[in-house]
Amino acid sequence: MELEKFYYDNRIPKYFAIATMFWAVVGMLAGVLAAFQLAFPVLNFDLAATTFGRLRPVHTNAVIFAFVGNGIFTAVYYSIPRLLKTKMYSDLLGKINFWGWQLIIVVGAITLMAGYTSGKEYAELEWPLDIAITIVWVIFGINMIGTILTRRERHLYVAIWFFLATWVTVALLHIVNSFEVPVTLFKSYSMYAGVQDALVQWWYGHNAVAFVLTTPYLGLMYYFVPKAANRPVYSYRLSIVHFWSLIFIYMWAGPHHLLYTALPQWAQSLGTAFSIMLVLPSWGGMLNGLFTLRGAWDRVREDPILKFFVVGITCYGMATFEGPMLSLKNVNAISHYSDWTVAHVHIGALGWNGFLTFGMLYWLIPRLFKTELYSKKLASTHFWIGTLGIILYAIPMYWAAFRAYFMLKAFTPEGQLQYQFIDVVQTTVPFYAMRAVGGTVFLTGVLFMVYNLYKTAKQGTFVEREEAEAAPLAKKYVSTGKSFWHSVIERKPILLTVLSLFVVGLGGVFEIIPTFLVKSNIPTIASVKPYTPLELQGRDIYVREGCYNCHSQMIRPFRYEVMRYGEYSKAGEFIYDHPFQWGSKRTGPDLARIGGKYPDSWHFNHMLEPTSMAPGSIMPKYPWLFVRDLDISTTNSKIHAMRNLGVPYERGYEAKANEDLKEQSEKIANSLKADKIKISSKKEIIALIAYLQRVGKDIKGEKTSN
Amino acid sequence: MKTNYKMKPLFLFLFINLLSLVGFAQSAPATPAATEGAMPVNTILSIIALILLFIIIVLSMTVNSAIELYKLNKQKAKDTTIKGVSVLIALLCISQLSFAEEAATTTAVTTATNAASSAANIYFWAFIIIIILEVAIILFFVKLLRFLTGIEQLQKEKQASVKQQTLWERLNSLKPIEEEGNMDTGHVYDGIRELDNVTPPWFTIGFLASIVAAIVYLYQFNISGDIPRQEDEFAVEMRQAQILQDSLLKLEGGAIDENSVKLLSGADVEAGHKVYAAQCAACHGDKGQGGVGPNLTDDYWLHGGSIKDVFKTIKYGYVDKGMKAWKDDFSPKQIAQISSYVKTLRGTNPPGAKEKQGDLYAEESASTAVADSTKTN
Repeated sequence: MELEKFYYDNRIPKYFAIATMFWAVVGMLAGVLAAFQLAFPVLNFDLAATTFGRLRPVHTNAVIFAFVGNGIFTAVYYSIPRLLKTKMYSDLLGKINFWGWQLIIVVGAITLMAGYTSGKEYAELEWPLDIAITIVWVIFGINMIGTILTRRERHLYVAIWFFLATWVTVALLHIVNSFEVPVTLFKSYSMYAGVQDALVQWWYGHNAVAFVLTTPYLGLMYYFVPKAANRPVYSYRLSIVHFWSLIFIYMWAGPHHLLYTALPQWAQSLGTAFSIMLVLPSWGGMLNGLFTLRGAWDRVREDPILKFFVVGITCYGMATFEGPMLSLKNVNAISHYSDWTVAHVHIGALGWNGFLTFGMLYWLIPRLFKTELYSKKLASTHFWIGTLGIILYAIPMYWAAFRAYFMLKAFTPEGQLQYQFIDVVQTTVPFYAMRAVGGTVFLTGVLFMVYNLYKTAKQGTFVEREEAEAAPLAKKYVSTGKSFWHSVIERKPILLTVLSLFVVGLGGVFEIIPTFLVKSNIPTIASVKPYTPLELQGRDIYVREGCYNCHSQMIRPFRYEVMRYGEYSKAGEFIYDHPFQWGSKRTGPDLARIGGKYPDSWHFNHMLEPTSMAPGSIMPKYPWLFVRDLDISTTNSKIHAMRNLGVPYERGYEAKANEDLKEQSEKIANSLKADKIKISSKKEIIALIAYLQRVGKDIKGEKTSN
Repeated sequence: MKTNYKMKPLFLFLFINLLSLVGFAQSAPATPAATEGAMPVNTILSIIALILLFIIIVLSMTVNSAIELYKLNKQKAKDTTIKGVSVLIALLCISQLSFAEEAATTTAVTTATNAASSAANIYFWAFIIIIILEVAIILFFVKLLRFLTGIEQLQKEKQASVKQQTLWERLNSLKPIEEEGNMDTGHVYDGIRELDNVTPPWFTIGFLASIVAAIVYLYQFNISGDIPRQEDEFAVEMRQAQILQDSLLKLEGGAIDENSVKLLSGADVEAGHKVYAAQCAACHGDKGQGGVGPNLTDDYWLHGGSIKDVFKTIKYGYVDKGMKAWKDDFSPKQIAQISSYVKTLRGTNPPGAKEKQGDLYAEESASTAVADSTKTN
């Protein structure tokens, strides 16, 4: 057959590579600032936009979707045309993909800092951005699948299986988790409430880890590791086994984020069981990556790129072993809400995603600019600094987590809690400082890389197009002899995509649907009532300020939690919570039963100057809540939206909701006045106090009237 | 191979011998057990020694026939060493047999005297030594048989042909890199070749084992109920804590409660002061002047001003008014200390005192309380 001439476009991969570096610096800078804030609260600057509760989502979103997201696109746009011997389907779609994604990131960061958030971890961006993400993601899909359909290579390489599965699964996760009812331009309520919202959110959250941070990076590994090592991939059959088992099992494991919570226990047990099964499929990827380096180990000693890959893949192995261990109930009892989880994810994020990305960039940039790496030595230094950064980050966090655990569960012989929560906070603060230093060290390494690669690009000339030639595919496939059955799937991309969707869909279907349909999963409690309009407004402030980043609202059935926070949480308490606010980390104490625990004036003083009420507290101050008037023009639409979601406000309640709101505001302002505090009842703080005094009280009255 | 054919009858012979041995071994322990209620150690040892002896006899006979076979095979080769070996074996066999006879008699004697003998300890060690020797002889015979029948030679040749693998390579079923051409799938994607190495055996076994473990876990948690539900775990934890507390209370002769609490002084008040400064001052002021919470220095009390009332207020709180219940944070003794400290604040008139709240409380025995407070201050 006659050879066809075509070219590989290098511009889009170059854009994405630059964006990857840019967002790496921005995202990690946000992380470092957030880390220092925990040690030195003054760094919250008393500004709404820079408080920890708003900054942390900026950090997580920037690192996951901006840094790693652009890393994925770099890998896809560079490797797919070459693996398929064709140019990308459309350069225009590529450009829209690139600029659309960057626009989402920028608007996302601004809106998050402005307090527009859906209140669901790793999915904080509000509904207009959710739609924008969907559109850009579909454009990316069209471009990728279009390329696959116009390929000159019959079979799809394993990297492409992972990219396809990533695409289809992220689409599924994003759409299902983002069902929400818009209230205003930048405010919406999650369609799901309480337990169901929690399950959907962690099904999403866990698989954001799986299908944004893991599977596409396995695809990246399968392309760049053999390329950089110049070695064949170790085992084809291992790729098949671990690809299918990984994507199937991952989707079931989400409930392990909700062990010992009010989630139905059958669902919890599925989370644990599937996590146990997840160890080996994950390790399959590690084995294939490391064994691919067989015969190239002598070069690992000299080549910084291979060093990054080896440590990155090893971190992947460690994190994917640790993860299933954390899914065992007795281990999770220690790790949940603690800094252990934070350490765990950073082993994955800094080690696996970070180092793999760095390795890719060090390999890619010299090739895009047809030159040698500016300084191999500097890259080696980056490697060592990065490794040191990971260690300095992780060890203090592990240490802090265990210390905190043993303090939290310590009892005196008389049966009293030995430590107050504030004691735990104070012992943890030095560890927060050390961790922040570790993060800074890691970031310094990244800056070295940016400089090194900038110099590399400077000394070379950019190759905009790479000429290539290949024969087109014959109309009909003629088998070239006996081949493994799986190769049939490899030459049918649509079949592969559909099969992947089916395989990943099963986990969701079997966990989420029963939780929604079976009534007995969430036993109703008669005394649980909808929030009053003021409380609802206050709750939205709670969500806006990102309180869930440090405070949980989910007391687990442990003696030390029940004694410290109150009766353990029940599924039926959360039926009106759109979105749920269970949280995942306790930098501060649990708030599930905060209602009525302190007087209004306590909350007033505490929000204004936390250390006045809790000496040693590292909570930021919230002075703007005392200046801003509550926006009551939204009350109507909020009540309306809530009723549409099934919250039983009577018909026509919208009309008098604001009257009730004002009445309750006056009450709180009066109670503050009694404590010599003068403040207008129109301020936001009044609404927040109303909400805080309500949380967990519906069933509290019955319990504490002894 | 020729030798294989000739070995066949020998294997058959060995096999039959082994069978008979097994049969003997099964019936052997039954006999003494029937005569004596519980079998003493020495009896068991003697039986083992006898069984081993029998094996030795059978093996020595086998070795003798094997020597014959070996001679036949090697006759053409005119191997001179064979003579030496056969002489050695013959000698060994003879010594064996005589030793065996000796052993047999000892065994017989000991078995007979066993029941009454007080020197059983000596016999015990004698038996152990005999058994060890017997095992050594058996191993030697086996080795000899392997040599004579040519099995050893075969294995050596086989090993020589296979390169020695490291433990790491065997664990992962790694094939030498030079042979990777055999495993090439023929796939090439942008210059990336794919091999088709087998998955490491521990991977496959581990994966299957994890699936089994997961299924067992799901079964035990959801169906059989072997793993407790979280409410049950909680109930157990609370019950255990209660038992511990109750036993401690018994030791201390009953807990202090709002009915039995007495005004404390001296070091106790100092201890109360410390807790107050850390936990109470935020709301009630560092000098008790009040803040979010009421003034503690005047004579007006919202919930009663006696030591018992104050104790009760701290212990259970008045949650609706913002006073937290502290019973889970502080022990009864600590609450008594805090209450006593609070009572010392009366009449101190600190600057910035909050206005009076609640009802006027008249001290039951004002003089003693005031005296106490001056003493401790």
